[in-house]
Amino acid sequence: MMNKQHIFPSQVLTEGMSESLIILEGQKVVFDKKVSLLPADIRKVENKENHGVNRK
Amino acid sequence: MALAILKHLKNAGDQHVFEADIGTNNYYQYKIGKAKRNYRGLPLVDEVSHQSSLTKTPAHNGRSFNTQFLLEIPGNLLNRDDRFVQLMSFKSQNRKSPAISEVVTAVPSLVDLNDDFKLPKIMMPSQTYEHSQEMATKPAPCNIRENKVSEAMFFNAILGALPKLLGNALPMIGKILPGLQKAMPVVEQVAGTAGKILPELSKIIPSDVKPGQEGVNQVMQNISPETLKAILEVIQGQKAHTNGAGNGKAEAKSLQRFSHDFAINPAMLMQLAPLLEKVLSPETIKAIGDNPVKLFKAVSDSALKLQKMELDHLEKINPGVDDAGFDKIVQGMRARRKDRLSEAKVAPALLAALPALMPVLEKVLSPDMIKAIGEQPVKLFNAIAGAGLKHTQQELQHLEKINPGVDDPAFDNIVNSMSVKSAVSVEAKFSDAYDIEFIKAQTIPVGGKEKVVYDRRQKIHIPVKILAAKKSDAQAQIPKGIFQLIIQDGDTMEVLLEKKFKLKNVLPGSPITEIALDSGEIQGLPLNKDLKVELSFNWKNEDQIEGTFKNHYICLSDGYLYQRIGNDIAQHFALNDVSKFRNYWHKVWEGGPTTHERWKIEFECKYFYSVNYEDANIKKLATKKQTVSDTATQPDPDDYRRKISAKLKSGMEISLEAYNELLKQHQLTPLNAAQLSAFAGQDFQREASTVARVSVDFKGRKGETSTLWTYPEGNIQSYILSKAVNVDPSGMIVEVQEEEVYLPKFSSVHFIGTKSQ
Repeated sequence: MMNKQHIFPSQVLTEGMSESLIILEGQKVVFDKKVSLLPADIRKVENKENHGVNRK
Repeated sequence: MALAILKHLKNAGDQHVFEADIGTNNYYQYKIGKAKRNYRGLPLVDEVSHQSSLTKTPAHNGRSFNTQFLLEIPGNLLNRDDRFVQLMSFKSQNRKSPAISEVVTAVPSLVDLNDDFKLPKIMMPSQTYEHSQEMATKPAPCNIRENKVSEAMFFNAILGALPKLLGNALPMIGKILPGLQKAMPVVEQVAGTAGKILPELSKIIPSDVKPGQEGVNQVMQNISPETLKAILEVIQGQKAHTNGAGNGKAEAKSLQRFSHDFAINPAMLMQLAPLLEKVLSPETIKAIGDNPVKLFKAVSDSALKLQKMELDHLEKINPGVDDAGFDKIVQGMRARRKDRLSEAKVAPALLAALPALMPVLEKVLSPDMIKAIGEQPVKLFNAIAGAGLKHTQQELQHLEKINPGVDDPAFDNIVNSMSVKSAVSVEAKFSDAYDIEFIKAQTIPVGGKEKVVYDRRQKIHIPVKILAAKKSDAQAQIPKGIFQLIIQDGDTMEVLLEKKFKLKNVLPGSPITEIALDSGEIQGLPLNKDLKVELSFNWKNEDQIEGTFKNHYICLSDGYLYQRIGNDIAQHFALNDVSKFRNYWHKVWEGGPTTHERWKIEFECKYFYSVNYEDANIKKLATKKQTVSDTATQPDPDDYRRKISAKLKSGMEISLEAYNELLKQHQLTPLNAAQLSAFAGQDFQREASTVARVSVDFKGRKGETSTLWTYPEGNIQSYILSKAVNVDPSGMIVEVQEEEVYLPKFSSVHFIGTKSQ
């Protein structure tokens, strides 16, 4: 019972569901789309001198 | 069976009535509080305002399974603040066999609609659950930009993929590309000898570029048959060179084929090899030779220094003099090394790396300049130096479009670093009388490349020796000499450290161990990153200071090195527990126009995950929104309906500490500090940088709002690290042993849309 209060259901909801029973921050959940993450070749345009690896 | 079940039945005004069940336990107690919290997965009432005494349960029929009873709590104990109740039960008065119920909300609140089907009120982003203070989330600007596929990168990918292509895909390529069919004899010949060539190639061109099958297909779709054939011929030339069968003509002949695709004649570029070999150590080529942009930066930086060293003692005001002086140096080196080049003594790795420079050079140098350079390598070298100084913002913008990575601020920093270096450098005239050699430089594999790695946890020294060009100088001590060590960031060229070493009686050929850094100095340098070590040696010749220099690339480690992603997955996880993993839930967008009765918003959304190396926090990046179209701003707008199309870009940066914390939360052993330090580097950064793209749309009426949330799913993924098992007296890691560790890796992201009720 308690888990239902905290854990978002694993099944993906169909977009446009008319009656959602899940509430998130006071709002009704209308869709849940699970999307695969793909490798990204990215860089940062600020704090460029750091490049994220200057751990000292 | 010990139980603790509590259910709110009714509010009778002066009292609240609950149904309680404690099973076979005999005593119970309840607590009332203002809040609830989650402690190691257990729900607990928090900020307790009232705690009942330990009470014995009412007697019930022992033969019945019905152990429920009514629990009445005075109404004055429960209100809108003190509204959470929890029941505890025990077997005996000394609190044996405890059981606790869920936390029940007795007085519903609009801000906390918690029934069995509703999620709790989401806390503010700054609040955390079960994380230490360091693991807090914090907002950050979204400054992520995606690199587009560039010609240089493309070329790089081809080079990286070549060993694999040669080994596996050549017959297929020949069939796919009709233009290659004529070249099949060549292809087959190369493929047939691949067994001999590939090990050498793997050393020269590390295959850390991982295009995968998709990338290979992409490469094959874009590359012209002529180019591929030319590359194969280069390899063929390399084979002849490696075998000693060629005398340099093979490279020249095969590389001329490149000129079909690249305006600079590669054979001419090859003539610079002796000069580049003078200023770049073999380990430098091993470390960065497969990265054209990085190699260009190193060459450009060296060219600038070399130019300056000569110009300092020439008439700067006479533009004709510098070329002549510079030309003299280069021509002298070429003449001196001519025979040696033909004897194939120029580092094969350098020769193999140079063609990769061409696409970058073509982008950096204007067509007119390339035309003016013609077949004169000295002018080309000067142009490379000039490119580091003279590029304009406009050129950078152009470069960005056609060659991502070139707009990197490092190009500016080449100039900046030169300014810094000029300010601190010993003024000297370049001399070819002596050369610097980095000795005992032993490389170890790091992420598919061979690199010189020092253990940062101890004092280190960089062993070198001075070599004399003339035999007559080889036996004579140099009475006084100054070594200057300048360590630069290999990507940005930022000067990180400068140190001078004054030595007396330097004997050419003898090992020099005084080029040392203490632990304080070395601790200030970044881990797992290519560091450009520029070592200059200056001496007095009659009344003027002369000098030489050489670049060397090293890395620093705290005992572990990142190698690659493993093949194993320990378990899957979904961070769908809002309470436990609130830090990973991100409200990407919230809104809804109030100007029209009906509205619809369509979003093309990109969401990124990357690593936060700056601190231990989880950074939630601010969402960037770009409106593509909006009916309200179009001519003749509809006053009733409004439709907006927009792009969203957002993301999250996860610290290594947060990844480690996730292991703990999945009951797995976290990595120790040394193991975790291996992940602080560009290789893992690339591995952990991911993106998800999705289209979503929201509809609403006037006054209604919607939100877009994200949370990740992933796997506990294996990674292969190398542990330093043998460090030589200089602090260089000379032997490593592979070790498999596990760290979370996000594989997918949930996009959740909500709408006001």
